[in-house]
Amino acid sequence: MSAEVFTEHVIVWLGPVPLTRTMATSVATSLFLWGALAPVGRAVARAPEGRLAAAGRLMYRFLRDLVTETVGHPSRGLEVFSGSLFLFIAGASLLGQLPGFAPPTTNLAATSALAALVFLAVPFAGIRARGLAGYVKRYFQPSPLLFPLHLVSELSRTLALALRLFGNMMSGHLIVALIVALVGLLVPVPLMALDLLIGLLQAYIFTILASVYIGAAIRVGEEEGA
Amino acid sequence: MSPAFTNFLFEAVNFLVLAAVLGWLLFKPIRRALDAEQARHAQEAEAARHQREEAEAVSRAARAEREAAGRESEERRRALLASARDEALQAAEAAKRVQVEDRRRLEKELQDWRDASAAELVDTIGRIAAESVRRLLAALDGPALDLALVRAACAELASVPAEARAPASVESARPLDARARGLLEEVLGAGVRERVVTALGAGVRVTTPAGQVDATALSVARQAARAVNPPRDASGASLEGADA
Amino acid sequence: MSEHTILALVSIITAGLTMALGAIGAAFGESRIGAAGMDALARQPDEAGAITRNQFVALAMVESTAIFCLVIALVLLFANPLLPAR
Repeated sequence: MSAEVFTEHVIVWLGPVPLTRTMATSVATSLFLWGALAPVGRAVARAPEGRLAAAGRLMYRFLRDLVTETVGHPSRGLEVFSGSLFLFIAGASLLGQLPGFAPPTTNLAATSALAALVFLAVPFAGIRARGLAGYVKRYFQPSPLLFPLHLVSELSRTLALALRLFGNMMSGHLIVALIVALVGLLVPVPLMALDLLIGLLQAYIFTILASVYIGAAIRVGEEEGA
Repeated sequence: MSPAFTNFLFEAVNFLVLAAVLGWLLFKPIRRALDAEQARHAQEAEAARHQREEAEAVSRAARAEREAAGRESEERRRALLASARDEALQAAEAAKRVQVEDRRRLEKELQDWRDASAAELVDTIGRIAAESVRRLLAALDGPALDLALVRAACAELASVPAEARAPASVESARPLDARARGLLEEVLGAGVRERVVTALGAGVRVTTPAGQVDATALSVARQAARAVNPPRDASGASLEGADA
Repeated sequence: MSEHTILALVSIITAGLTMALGAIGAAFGESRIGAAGMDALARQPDEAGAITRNQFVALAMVESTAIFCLVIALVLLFANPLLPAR
């Protein structure tokens, strides 16, 4: 049993730059998503009929409804961002069921990177939608005294995003690894199914939370006006 | 560089690249397809709404037309009914008129027929009466009849003024006997011209300047027939009077 | 018993305690969220989408505490800064 919970397995050092296993799995996940979803996009563009195209449109409509409800109006950038987040996390969880494949989301650095992207996307989207003053005003909203609390909230929720994803994925992965080490055949299957379910659920939760955070930054002025 | 930090940076870049790729290859075509579909749906809905409005307008026009046609046909029907009633009334009137005329004509024909038969009856009766008188006179024929007739003629002549009596001519059926001549001379005086006309049957006919006194069997029979069948004018007035 | 052995022993025990105690609060909180979500669903079935989404968000928030406990337990077990690297 290899207990690489916080350590990182470096495959090869390219000079000063290490090439880690997480990097490899994330690239593999990206390539898998690309290969799996590019035909969907082509199918939708070529012919609106067919199962692939129907699945793609269904998914996109679901995503658009989600974003529209969160933000208050359709937002292309947030659609792409949230959709990619969901697809990446879910795809990683799916690939994680392959034997010997540790999904990149079991790495704390990877989940921290995703959370950091969400953290950065919040002011980006807020400033783009409301302007710098309109966005910054949000931090002083009910009272200027709450500015530190806002900051702490931003940081802590980012930390929570990263740790939640990492903890869920890693716990599932660890449990499956433990059972595999103990029994081996067929017994880990239900736990793997649970792991897969948790992975998809976490992808959904991560996506929703990211949408809610970014959407709140976008619609700050609207709430003020309401 | 520590592996964790490299991981961190690499993951961020990897995810951004993935998002860009997916946005380009997956989300954009789907969004375009959905938007195009939505636009098409909106267009179709608009077209459908337009068509429905047109159809409603057409149906409204058709309804109005139908109502107008119904009104027109109603009027035509009413007019037809009225004219038919008029025609029926006129026909009834004409029929009544024809009937009345027929009745009148029939009555007239009946009347004519009645008149004709009555006239024929009267003629027949007159003929019968004349014939029977003639037969009666023929049965009575003889000197006595002649004498009676002469006496009747004399009685009639006596009413004529004496100066108007002569000259007179006497026609008789048979030669006058002495007693008859005597009677006549007593009335007419002497110088009576006598002539025998057998056709008179019996009796005498005396012609004076004042007039003719006819006391022959022929004239008696004629008078008898005339009494039964008085002479009529063309309008048959005497007949109506006889009827009344 | 060396100092490291005692430290390792305490770390393992503490990791178990952390997980157990941390799970209690999260379990109670999540059960209440689930009950409230069911109640809301029964009252307003039309709002199922919004209710489910917000319920998941709230669950994730509450679960965060348990996950933090899990991470701490993992740190104690696998990345204990007080123990020398194996």
